[in-house]
Amino acid sequence: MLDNRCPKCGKKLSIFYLKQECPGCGANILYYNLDERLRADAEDARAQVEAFNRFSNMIKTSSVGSLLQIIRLVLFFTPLGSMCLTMFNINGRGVSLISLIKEIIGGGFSMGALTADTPYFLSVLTMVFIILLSLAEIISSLFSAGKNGLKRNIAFSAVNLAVFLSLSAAVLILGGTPGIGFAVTLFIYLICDFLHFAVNKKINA
Amino acid sequence: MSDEKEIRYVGIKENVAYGLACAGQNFGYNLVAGGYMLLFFTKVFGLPENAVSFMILVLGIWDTVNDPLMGAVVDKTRTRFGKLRPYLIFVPLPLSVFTILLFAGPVILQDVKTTAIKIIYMYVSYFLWEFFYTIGDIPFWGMSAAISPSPSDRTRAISSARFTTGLIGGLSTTLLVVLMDLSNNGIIGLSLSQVFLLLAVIAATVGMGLFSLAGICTRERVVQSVKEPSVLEGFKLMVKNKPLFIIIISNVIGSVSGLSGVFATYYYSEVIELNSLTLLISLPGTILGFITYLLIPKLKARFDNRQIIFLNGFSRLIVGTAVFLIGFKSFTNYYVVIPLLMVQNLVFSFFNTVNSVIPTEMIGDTVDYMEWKTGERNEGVSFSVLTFVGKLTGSVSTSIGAAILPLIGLSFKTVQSGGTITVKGANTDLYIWALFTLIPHILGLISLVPYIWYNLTGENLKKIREDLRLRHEQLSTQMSGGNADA
Repeated sequence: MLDNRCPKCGKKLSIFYLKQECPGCGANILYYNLDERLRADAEDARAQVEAFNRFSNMIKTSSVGSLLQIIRLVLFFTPLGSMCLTMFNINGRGVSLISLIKEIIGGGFSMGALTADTPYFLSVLTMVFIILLSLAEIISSLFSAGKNGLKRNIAFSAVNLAVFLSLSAAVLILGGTPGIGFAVTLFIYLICDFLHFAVNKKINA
Repeated sequence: MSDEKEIRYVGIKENVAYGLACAGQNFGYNLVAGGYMLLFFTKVFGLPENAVSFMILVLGIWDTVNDPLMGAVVDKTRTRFGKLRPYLIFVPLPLSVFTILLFAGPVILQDVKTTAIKIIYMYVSYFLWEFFYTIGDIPFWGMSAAISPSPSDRTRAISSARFTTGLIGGLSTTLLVVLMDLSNNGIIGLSLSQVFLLLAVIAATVGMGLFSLAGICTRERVVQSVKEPSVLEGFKLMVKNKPLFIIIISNVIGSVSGLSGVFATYYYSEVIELNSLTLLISLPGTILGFITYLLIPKLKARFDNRQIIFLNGFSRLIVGTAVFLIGFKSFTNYYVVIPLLMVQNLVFSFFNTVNSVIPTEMIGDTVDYMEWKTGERNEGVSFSVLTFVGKLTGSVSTSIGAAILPLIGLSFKTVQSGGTITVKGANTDLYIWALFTLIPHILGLISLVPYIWYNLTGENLKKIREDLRLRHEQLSTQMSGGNADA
C-alpha cells in the first residue's frame, strides 16, 4: 500500500521522498499509467467481492438455508429456556438459571459461598459451560457448508455433551438430583446432534 | 473505460480498513467530545468551571478558523501519496501522544498546587490535541470523495466508516461510565484520574493504531489538477460552490431539529422521571440502525439524494405528529409511551443512519461539481465545512434549548441541603412533550427549503460525472510518461 518504487522506471524511493515526480525519469508517480492501475484495482475488487460472496453464501446456507437449518439455529438458543426450569435439586433447593439470577440481583451471591458448596458450585458451572459451549457450537454451525463442516459440528457437539454429562454426573454423585431442566437440556442436545446429520445431508443433496 | 458508476475500484479490505480507521479515531474523539471533558477538567483536574468554559469557548472560536484553514492547506498539497494520505500517515503518532498528555494532566501535575500552571497545561494540551485531530479529521473525510471516482464506492466507504464507528467508536464512553462507577464505589483500585488516563492510553494505542489504517491501506484514485490552488483560492472556491452552500445553509437551519434530542433528555428525567427508559426504548431502533446500512444501496436505487433528504424531513414530521397526538393525553403512561416511542425511535433510527451517510456523500458530489466547473478539486475545504457545521449545529441546538427552558416554565433550584429541585409550570410537561416529539420536526421542514435549488441529481449529475471521467482520462494520459508537463 505504501509503494516505494517508481511505477515507470522502478527506481527505489525513500519513504520521506514526497514529490510527485520521480527523481530518475521524471514521471508523475501518482498518476503514471493510472488507467492501467484503476483496471487492476477493479479486478482486485471484483475478486475480493467474489470471495466474500462465496463466504457469505456459505454462512447463509449453513445458518438459514432451509427450514431444517433455521430449526437447528433456534434450537441452539433453547437451552437458555430449559435452564430456567429446575436443573438440579440440591439439599431441597432447586437450582436454575432464574434462581441464580435472583440470587445475584438480590445481593445474596458470593464467590465464597458458591465454592464452599461443591454440588451447588458444580451445578452453576454446568450452566456456565452450557452457555459457553452452545455459543461455540453456534459459531461452528455457521460453517456447516464449509470443508469438514459435519465433522466439526459433531466434535463441538460431542464436547458439549461430554462436559454437560460429566459435570451433571458429578452433581448427582455428590447428592444432587436431576430436575426437569436437566432432562429437557439433554433432549435438546440429542436433537441437535441428529439435526447436524440431517442438515449435512440437506446441504450436500 | 465504461461507466465509472458501475465499476467497483475499492475492494472489501480497503473498505474495512477505512471503517476501522474511523472507529479508532472516534474512540479517542468520544472521550473528548462525548460530554465528559467538563467533568474531567473540573472534578478530576480540579480547575474552576469558568476557566474551563472560557477555554472551550476560545478554542471553539479558533476551530471556526482552524478547520477551513486546514482544508485549504490540504487542497494545496501535492505529493506522490496524494494530497490527503500524507496527513493520514503522519498524524496518528503525534495525535496519540497528545491524547495521552491531554488526560495525563492530573497525574503529571498531582503535586502542583498552583491553579495557573494547571490552567496553562489545560490550554496547551487541549489546543495541541485539537490541532492534530483537525489535521487528521479533514483529510479522513476528504478521502471519502478521493478514494474512488465511482459514487457507489464512496457510499460504501462512508457506510463502512459510520457502521464501524457505531459498533466500536462509542465503546470509550461506555467503558468510561462503567469504570467511573466501579472507581466511585471502590470496586476497582483506580482513581478517576487513572480511569481517564487508562482510556486515553487505549485510545492512543489501539485507537490510533486503527486510525493509521486510513493512511496505509487506502488510495486516492481521483486525479487532482497539477496546479496547486492557493489558500485564498481555496476559500473562494468554497464560496462559489452553490450546492455546497445550499447544504451548509440547510444544515444550519436544521440545527433546530436537534431540539428534539435536547428535550428528550428533559422528558425522560423531568416528565417520566426514569432516565434508563431511554435504553429500552432505543433498543429496537439501535438494531434497525445497523441493518439500515445494508438497505442504503436499495434506497439509493429508488431515490436520488435530494429525494431522500425530503423523505427524511416529511417522515419525521408525520411520525412526530402522530406520536404527539396519540400521546397527547397519555405521555406519562408507560403502557402508551413505551410502544409509541419505540415505533418513533425505529423510524428515526432508520433515517439517522441514512443521514450519517447521504450528506457526506453529497459533499463529495459538490467537490465533483466544482471540479467540473473550475477544474479544481477541493475535498479539504469542502469537508472542513462538514466538520465545522457539525460542531456548530450541536452548539446551536443546545443553546436554543437552554434559552427555551424559562419560556416553558422549567427551572432548577438549589436547596439548602445542596441538592436541586425541579420547578415546573402548569403546562411544562406538555410543552416538553411537544418540543420532544412535534415542534422540532415542524421547524425542520424549513431546512428543506434550500434544497429546492439543489440540482446535483439525475441527468445533471450524470452529465457532470461523464464529463469528469473523460477529463480524468485525458489528465492521467497527460501526466503519464516522463517529464510531466506542469
